[in-house]
Amino acid sequence: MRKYAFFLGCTIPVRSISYEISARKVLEALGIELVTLKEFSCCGPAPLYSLDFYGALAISARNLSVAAEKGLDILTLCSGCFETLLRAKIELEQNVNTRKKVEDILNSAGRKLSTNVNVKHIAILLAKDIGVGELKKKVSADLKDISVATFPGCHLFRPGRALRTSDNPQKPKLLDKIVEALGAKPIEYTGKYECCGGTLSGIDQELSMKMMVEKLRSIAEEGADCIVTACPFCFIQFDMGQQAAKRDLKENISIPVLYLTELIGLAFGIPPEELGLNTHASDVSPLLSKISRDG
Amino acid sequence: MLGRRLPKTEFDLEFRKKLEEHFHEARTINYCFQCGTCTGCCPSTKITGRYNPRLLIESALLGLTEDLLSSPDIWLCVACHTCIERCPQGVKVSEVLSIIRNFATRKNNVPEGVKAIASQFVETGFTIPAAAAILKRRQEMKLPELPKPNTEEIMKIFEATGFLKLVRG
Repeated sequence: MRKYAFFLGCTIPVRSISYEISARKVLEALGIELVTLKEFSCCGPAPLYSLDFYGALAISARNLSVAAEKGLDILTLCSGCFETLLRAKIELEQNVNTRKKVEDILNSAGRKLSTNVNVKHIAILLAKDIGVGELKKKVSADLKDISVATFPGCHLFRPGRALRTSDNPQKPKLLDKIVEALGAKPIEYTGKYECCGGTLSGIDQELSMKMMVEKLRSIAEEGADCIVTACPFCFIQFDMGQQAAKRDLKENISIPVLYLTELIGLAFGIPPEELGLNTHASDVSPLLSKISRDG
Repeated sequence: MLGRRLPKTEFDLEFRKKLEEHFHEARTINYCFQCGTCTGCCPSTKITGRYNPRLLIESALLGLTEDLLSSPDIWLCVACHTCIERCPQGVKVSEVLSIIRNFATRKNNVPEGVKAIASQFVETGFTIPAAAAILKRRQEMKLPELPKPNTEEIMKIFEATGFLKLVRG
């Protein structure tokens, strides 16, 4: 049985719990064991790197060290956590000057630096390590009538060289491959490989909404049954953002928004309420009525 | 708009060196030949109409630091890293801008929303600490307990970098 240090970060357990719930269910079905490490903190997010680069890097390094001490690889759900932790590991292993600097900071806080740990994102674990073939074997519901607008987001794939992305970082197909394996139809639309606008939400809410809405419109034009993402910021942008767009911009588009693990759970025949679908802001019932459970 | 008028002050010709000394990847700024690919592919430029990474990089190269480091525009990067993928010269545009924001932070040019996240973080180790109601809900849903890191250790990290002092003012 594979075992991982489960890195939840800040946003998912507090603001977007259905990602955690559905991931736990799906990983259990696939025989993956998850361990919570008490000493994990926030990953050291991008805004913190903007303020205090070495403080943020030391925080990322501290999280790596916590997992390394237990001899466990890290599994993240959030694309942001994935990017910061993996890049921190690579930078600390490649550059002796950076490593020395960060080591000194950690030592002054009483922590030993270790980067001897792998960092995985759940989408990569599912598609590459477990493999789409294994996912296919577990599918019991019929998703053939479901058109899926996957939203890959940025931090799972870019910067491609820094993250050693095996996909095309400008046009990643990882999520589409998983959706296809589940028997659903991935679709193309304008803006698919761009940013959701989530990063701007704490800086300029209006611009952030504009960025989301332009994608929402093109997704609606292509007639998607749902939006599927593997990043909590993209999810919150589309799921809660749709309600805000209705209220503030009179933008009357309703499309169910799902986490990748929720769609996988549905395909595996797990009941929607066990996946946390009742916690969404967007109405998922039009999608559920199109899925036949006995396939 | 930044770069469209004469600079207010002197040129800090050492600024590009200061960036590189802060973090080595910033040296890629020297390869910029001002083609504007970064601005052309930028989703923030498309939406804001005023955000212009090429001009920000130019200002950094010329050392127009007073304008650059007080500009609200440097915070409009969405960190999607498309510019890094597309730059024909291998300039790590979004990375360089992140390093530039480290310098702007020392001049107290930080949006309120980002400041709030930072002060939350240095005290708790999380950007969004879980409220009691959330913890109760998790218990009801039979979800495992959340991590509870040693906050003293986290504060010591920011003490070592000098950031704690900056946050607490």
